[in-house]
Amino acid sequence: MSLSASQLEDRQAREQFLNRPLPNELRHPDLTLEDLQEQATARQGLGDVEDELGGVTLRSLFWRIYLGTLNVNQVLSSTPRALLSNSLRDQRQQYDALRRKWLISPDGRWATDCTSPDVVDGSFDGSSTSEGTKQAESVVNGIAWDPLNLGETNPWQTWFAQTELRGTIDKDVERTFPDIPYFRDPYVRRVLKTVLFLWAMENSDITYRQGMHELLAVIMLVCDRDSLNRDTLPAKNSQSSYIGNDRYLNVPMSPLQSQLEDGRHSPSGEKMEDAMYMVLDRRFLEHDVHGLFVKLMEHAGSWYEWRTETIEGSLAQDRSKQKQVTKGRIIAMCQHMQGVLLKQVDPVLWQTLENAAIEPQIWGIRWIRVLFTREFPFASALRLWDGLFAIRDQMDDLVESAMKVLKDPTIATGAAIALENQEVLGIQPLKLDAPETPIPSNTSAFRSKRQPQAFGRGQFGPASSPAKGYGFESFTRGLMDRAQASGKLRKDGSLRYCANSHVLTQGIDKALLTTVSTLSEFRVSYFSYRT
Amino acid sequence: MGDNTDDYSYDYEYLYKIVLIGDLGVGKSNLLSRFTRDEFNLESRSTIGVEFATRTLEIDGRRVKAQIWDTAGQERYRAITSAYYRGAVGALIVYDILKTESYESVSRWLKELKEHADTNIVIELVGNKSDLDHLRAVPTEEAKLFANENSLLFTEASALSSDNVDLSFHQLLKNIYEMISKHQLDTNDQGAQKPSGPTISLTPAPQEKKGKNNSNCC
Repeated sequence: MSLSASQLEDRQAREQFLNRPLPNELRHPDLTLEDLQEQATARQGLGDVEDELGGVTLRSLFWRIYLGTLNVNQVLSSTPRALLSNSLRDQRQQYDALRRKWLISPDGRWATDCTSPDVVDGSFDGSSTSEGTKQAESVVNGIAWDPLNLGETNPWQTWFAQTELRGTIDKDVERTFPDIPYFRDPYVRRVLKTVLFLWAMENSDITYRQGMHELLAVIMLVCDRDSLNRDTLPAKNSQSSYIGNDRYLNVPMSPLQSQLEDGRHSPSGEKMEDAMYMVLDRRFLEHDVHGLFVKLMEHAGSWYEWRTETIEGSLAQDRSKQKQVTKGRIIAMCQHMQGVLLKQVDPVLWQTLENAAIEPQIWGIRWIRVLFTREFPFASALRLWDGLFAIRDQMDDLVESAMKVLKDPTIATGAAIALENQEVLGIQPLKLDAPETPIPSNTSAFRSKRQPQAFGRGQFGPASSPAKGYGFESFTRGLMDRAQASGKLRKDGSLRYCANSHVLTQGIDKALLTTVSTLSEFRVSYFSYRT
Repeated sequence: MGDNTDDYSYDYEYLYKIVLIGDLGVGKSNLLSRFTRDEFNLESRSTIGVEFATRTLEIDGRRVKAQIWDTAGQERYRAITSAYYRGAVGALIVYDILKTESYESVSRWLKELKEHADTNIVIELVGNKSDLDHLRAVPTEEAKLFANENSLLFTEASALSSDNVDLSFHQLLKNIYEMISKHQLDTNDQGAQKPSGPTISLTPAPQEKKGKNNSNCC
């Protein structure tokens, strides 16, 4: 393959010198999803926080496995590579189909403000592919639609409305994490805009809402960090890939194709590398980012619903029932957080909020919609996401059991929540030690820290003791611990409890609620677990 | 969120809740930060959910604390909307003098205020980004006329240069103060409420909302 034997030896020698595990865990025959979930929960997040951006090698890979865009069994060396490459190819082709569906104007030209798989001087050469069906859209019954025609059936009207939506998205994309220079990169912004737009078009009931841009931005940065550029290694040939040229990341060879077409049986080491290059191929960064975002939005999408109120007043004589119908899920979650969880863990704080008539959605919406990225420093939020994603599937009954267990709220539980609520209540915030690592100044600098051969390091080792920390850092670690502890509770099987299932459906939101509710219970388990 | 430099002791006589509304990207958050902290950030993040800041100033020799609520320009969710407007005695409808659409949205925001806010709410129309006069798309006279027709206060301001920012808030607060003083006189409701907590509504809640106060939902 692309690496010479001496290069491989060199790499292995360095790994041993640094006492880092080799990237072989992923081909461990017994590796399971549970093992990988353990990586996040046992160490309160993946890896160690290295810098302000929370750089953890292969985090995106874990997320893809946790959220289900990558099947862990397909990565094993015992599995034929074709399974992996086929499933990756299918996912990526679906994304390109989406782009073709929504980004080609009625006269067959590509939307100039978005990314495109085949761009030739700004116009899409539809005729060169079998997908150029949209080209005829502006010509109906032999009559070409005038873009200025205001008729409702004029495809241009739809097109212009979509362009407007992209303008709205743009306004937020331009304001995405302004502190992080990575998000000023024009290519990054273009990808964010394109993916958000496509999601909005495919989910017209919700469309684009402010806050989604930050969820996507986090995914983008995490995936880009892990992305591999094969071009940096000696390429064997430069056959064209399935997707044509890549204007930004000029990579000559397609790992997918070479793997498929070569049919070679490489030594397992190289085979593993092939899998890595397939999965983390930078040319498909945008495709894979989209895949992850779609998965996340399967849970997070309902937090952005905003049209439920249209039902109001039209049905139900039973007013309380009507309220349930018209209440959005995010409101239900906020009310649950304050009215049930907070009340249990910190009655005093709850009473204060009630007395001041502070409705939970006033503070809760931001927590939930952007998944704590505004409540925590970036790196800490990522660790929290690790846990939320990792325990997603196990979380079904956890909130209920955690709530049942919560009979003895402590001062500590209140403190943790007060930390979050201090601003609402006008309490002076705690002083936090600010990380001093400089942020990379641009994309290339950001990427240069991640050479292709850097995969597989460090994150698979035996769980070292979590670093002692204070402030947000320790709080975040605590959240992970709690999630883990409540998982243990569930395994005991004794504490299952079901109620309010309309509020407490499955997934991330449960992890989220659990983090708020199980703190006191966790502390007990945590300390007994540690000693 | 909050104004961390703020003094949370109750050294004020009146507390007015004011809401900021207007399309996304017109500069609501920057007007707020300019007024409360004298800060401006060209690259501020878009607002998610609701944010707050306060500033206490003197009007007619009285200490008046403005508690200003800021929300995402795209926020249209009624469950937030009602919590957002409840108890507000003043509103700033902000548009961008460079963006005609943001000005055209003003009547929609006005309608939303009529639907959700107290009928006595004092409203001011603010054309932001006046430092970019050479790129202006909305004529001052047109906006002024609209404001007059709808009994709104009016200013053009710039959060960037801070021109007229203090003035616009002062103008609004003064009008609220006068409105409430008059209101109290009219209704012979003497004992002005003592400040006793973080939020005080000086105007009664609209009738239709009273029934809902007991529930945990808005």
